[in-house]
Parts: sequence; C-alpha cells; structure tokens
Amino acid sequence: MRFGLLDWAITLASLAATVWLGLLTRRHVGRIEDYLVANRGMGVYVGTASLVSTEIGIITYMYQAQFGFLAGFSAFVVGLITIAVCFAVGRTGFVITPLREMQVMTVPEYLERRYGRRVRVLAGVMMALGGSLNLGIFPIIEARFLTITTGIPPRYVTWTMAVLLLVALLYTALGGMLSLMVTNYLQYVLLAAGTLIVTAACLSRIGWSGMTGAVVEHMHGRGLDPFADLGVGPAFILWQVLLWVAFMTVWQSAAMRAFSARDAATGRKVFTLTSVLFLGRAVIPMAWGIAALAFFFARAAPVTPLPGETPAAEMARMDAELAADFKPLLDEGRLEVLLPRVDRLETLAEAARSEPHAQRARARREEIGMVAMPWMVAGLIPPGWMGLVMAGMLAASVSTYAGYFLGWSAVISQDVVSPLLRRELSERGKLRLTRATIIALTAFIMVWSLVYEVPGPAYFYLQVTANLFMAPTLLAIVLGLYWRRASALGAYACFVLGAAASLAYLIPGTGLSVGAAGNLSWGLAFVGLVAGSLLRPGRPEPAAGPGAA
Amino acid sequence: MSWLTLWAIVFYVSVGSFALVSALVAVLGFREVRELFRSFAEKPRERP
Repeated sequence: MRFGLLDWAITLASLAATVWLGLLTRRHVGRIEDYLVANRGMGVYVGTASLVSTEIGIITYMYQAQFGFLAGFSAFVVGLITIAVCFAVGRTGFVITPLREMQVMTVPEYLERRYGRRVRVLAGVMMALGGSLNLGIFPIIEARFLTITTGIPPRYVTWTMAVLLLVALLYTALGGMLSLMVTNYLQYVLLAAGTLIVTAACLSRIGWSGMTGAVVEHMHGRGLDPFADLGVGPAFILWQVLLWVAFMTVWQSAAMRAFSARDAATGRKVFTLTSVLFLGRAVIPMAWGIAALAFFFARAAPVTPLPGETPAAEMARMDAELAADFKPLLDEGRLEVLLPRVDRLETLAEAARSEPHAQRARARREEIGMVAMPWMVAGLIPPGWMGLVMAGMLAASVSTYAGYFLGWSAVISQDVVSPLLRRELSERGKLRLTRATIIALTAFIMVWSLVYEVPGPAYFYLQVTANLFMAPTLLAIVLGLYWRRASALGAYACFVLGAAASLAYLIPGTGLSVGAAGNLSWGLAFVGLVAGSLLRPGRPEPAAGPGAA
Repeated sequence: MSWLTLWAIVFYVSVGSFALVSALVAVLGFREVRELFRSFAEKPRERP
C-alpha cells in the first residue's frame, strides 16, 4: 500500500496537535455562554476558519466529488448558487444580524420569543432529528475514504472512525466553542493545504483538457448545460437557492458562528469572506470527481459485443456479469474495468428503453462515483505528500464532527430538554447537560451509521435531511420577523407539513423525487404557516417558566 | 461564451480565490487566536 510510515507520522502528529490545542482551552470555560458562543469574542479570520472547517469534512469532498463524477461540469452551478447566496447574506445580514443583535445562542431560542415555548421545543425536535440523521451517515462514507486511501482493512475502519469521533468528542465536550475556534484554525490550515495538493496533482497528472475530454466523450451529451441535464433543472436550482439561504441563516453550526461574533458587523464579514471559500468547497471537489472520471476512463479498455450478439443479448449478459462481479471489483478499486461496462449497459438500456436495466446501471454508476475520487487520490498522490493530504482530510473530518456535535447538542439540550424540565438549571447544570448530550449524540451517530442504508446519492440524502427542518425554520423566522400576523398555530403547521415532505423521500418505496421533496417541503411549510396564521392570528404563547438558555 | 469556457473560468477562479483567502486566513487568523487566548486569560475565572 502507498500509505507509508512517514504518512502515518504526519497524520498522527496533526491529530495530536489538534487534541493538545483543544485541551488547552478547557480551563477558560466557566459559563454556558463561554461554552456555546465563546463569550462572543470571535474575530473575522478565526470565524471564517471555524465556519469553513466545520462545513468541510471528508464527507463534503466525497459527495461533491460524486456529484461532479455523475453530473460533470453542470454540478458547478451549485457552487455559483452557493457563492451568490452566501455573499448576499454576508452583505445584507439577512436574518443573521437580527438574531445576533437579540443575543440568542440557538436558532429556536428566537422562536420561543416570537411564537412561544412549545414552538421552540417542536423546532428543536425537528432540528435535532434532521441534524442527527444528517450527521448519522458521515462515518460510514468517510470510512470508505480512509479504507481506500490508507489501506486500513475494513474490519478495523469502524474502530478508526470511533477513535476520530472520540477525539472530536473529547475536546468539544471539554472546551466547547472556544476549543472549536482554536482547533478549527489549525484544522483549516491543514485542510486548505490538503485541498490544494490534491488539486495540483489533478491538474498536473490529468489536466484541464483531460477533464473536459472525459465529460465530452463519456457523458453522452450531458455534463455541460445544467439547465438541460436531468436533475439540474430550474426546479433544482430554485430549491438550491432556498436551501442555501436557509443553510447560511438557520443551520445551527453556521448560525452559531454569527452568534459567537464580536458584533453583528463581524458576523457579516465572516459570511462574506466565507462565500469565496464556499465556491471552492463545491467546485474543487466536484472537479476532483470529474478528474476521477478522466483518470479511470483513460485506463479503461473499450467494451464490445461478442460476435453475432444482439444488443438485447449483450445487455442481458452485461447485466448478469455485473451482478456477479461488481462488488468485488469495486472493493478492489478496479474502476477502469467497471466503468466502461456500466457505461455500455446504460447506453444499451436507454436504447432498448429497458428501465430496470437502466436503473441498475445508474445505481452502479452512483456507487462507482462515491469511491472514484478516493481511489484516484490513492493512485495520484506520492508517499509523504499523502500524509499531508490525510492530515488535511482528518482535520476536515474531526472539525466537522466537533462543530456538529456542539451545534446539535446545543439544540437538544437548550431547546428540547431544558424547556421540558420547566425549571432554571444552574450554569454547571447547563454545562453538564450539554456535555451529556454530546456524548449521547456521538453514541447515536456510531449506531446509526452502522444500520442505515442511504437511498440514492449521498448528496441528496444530506440535503433532504437538512430540509427536514431548514425550510420550516427559515420561513418561521422570516415571517416571524417581517409579518405581524404570523402565529403559533401557523408555526406548528409550518414545521409539521415542511418535515412531512422530506420524511416521505427518506421512506423507501414512496417514489418521491429529490427535487419534488425539496420544493414540496418549502411549499407545504409556507402554506402551513400562512393558513395557520390566518386561521388563528393569536398572540405569542406566554413562556411557561424561566428561559432555558 | 461556451459552457466549457464558463466552467474553466469558474474552476480557476475557485482555486485561485480559495488559495488566496486561505493564505489570508492563515496569516491574520493566527493573530486573532492569540488575542482570543489573551482575552480569556485576562478574564477573571467564573466558577459556576
């Protein structure tokens, strides 16, 4: 295997440095405000490093590369939407400025002020559910990256992921947001270096012309025009715009950076600077996915029919052969063997209008797309450099776990458990509750990642689970801020209906497409909020006791 | 302008701006980390 002793030394040293830095901060944390928002002392550059390193994990690079592999350059449109939305939020302070000025620590805290405690708890439950389901598939996908690039045998990779989760758990539980900011700085530097090394390797070994050639030759007319391509049409783009607005404003781990900023202006600057990095967060790994397509097609032999074989017979033979050897070849990384066969099967199935064959071919292409980038990285990056890349990837991974642990546990402890206790906890009690929630969340993630099988591309699963609460939360906040008639009944209907559409996608057999589920979630949440508010435009519910946070 | 030209521009702008802003964050962020530590060190420790 190419991952040598020097690579391991670099990787482990970077992890050790991260833990050491994280633990340095624990003695400074005395109050829940220190713990969740670092006493609101975050500056622009540390804030940017913290936000970006939290929102980039190995999982991000895996699903973005898969999306690039499957959709070609059309996938880049997501990066353009991201930078536009993030920049607009940063410049205008849309939602983040009013929330920062209210000095809230979690997003549902605002909902209690506007609609009442029960809406806060309902929103908290939805956010905790969506956030945990979202985070739940990270380890299983990241484990595949580690197995491929380091050569760790699959039977040990679960333990490796457990160690990474425990590293994140250790310093996050002890140091909270302060620990996150300091470690995120180091992690950002490492992940940026790793990202640029892989990009340089793609450009020097495959080249831009190799990448464009692969898309033009092997994507059958797709991969360039996002409007014409299946899956990246106007409905998809509309959904992405809405989703990114919500992500930048009400996604707890992102919003916490705005809440932790020194002031509202610093929060806006962080989001403006982040917009540039978020363009790279999308486009760069998508380009790696395209580079992987070029890398494996360049090594592939053409697939031809047997003498005298009809297209129908060839399609049946190809399908049967793939059913027998697809999994072992995929596990060995023989993608140059699989890719042309899957491509041929898809072509034959589309020509014969055989939907079952076409579906199987697409599913196999998705599976190849998920592992193509790591196999390419393992083949492209020389020893020594690989250690730096791995240090960057693990930094990205651990920082994401740490940021999400803190974000979702803050919601669970402050917005669900604490309000339900109906009594004010002491500062020590709040800290203990949040730390206990982080430990419970870590345990859930480990179990969920072992039992759940992702339906369709990971990219869509992640966005749909996020949409479970992002559509209703954003609508409830925006209409709460700008529409006086918005009421608690409207907010309940908004959360229940908005979540129902996303849940329908996650339940196997419903047949709801990802775009339809996304747009339906927004539409139903909006209808629910407006209809409920018009039916009963009452005053906000009184809080049933002292505030939780 | 063709799609390929547009995507080439998007890609190179992404990589260039990622490298540039990352360098900026690395240099100026270091100073902020030190300030953050100093501010917490100066703050009287509050025991809950």
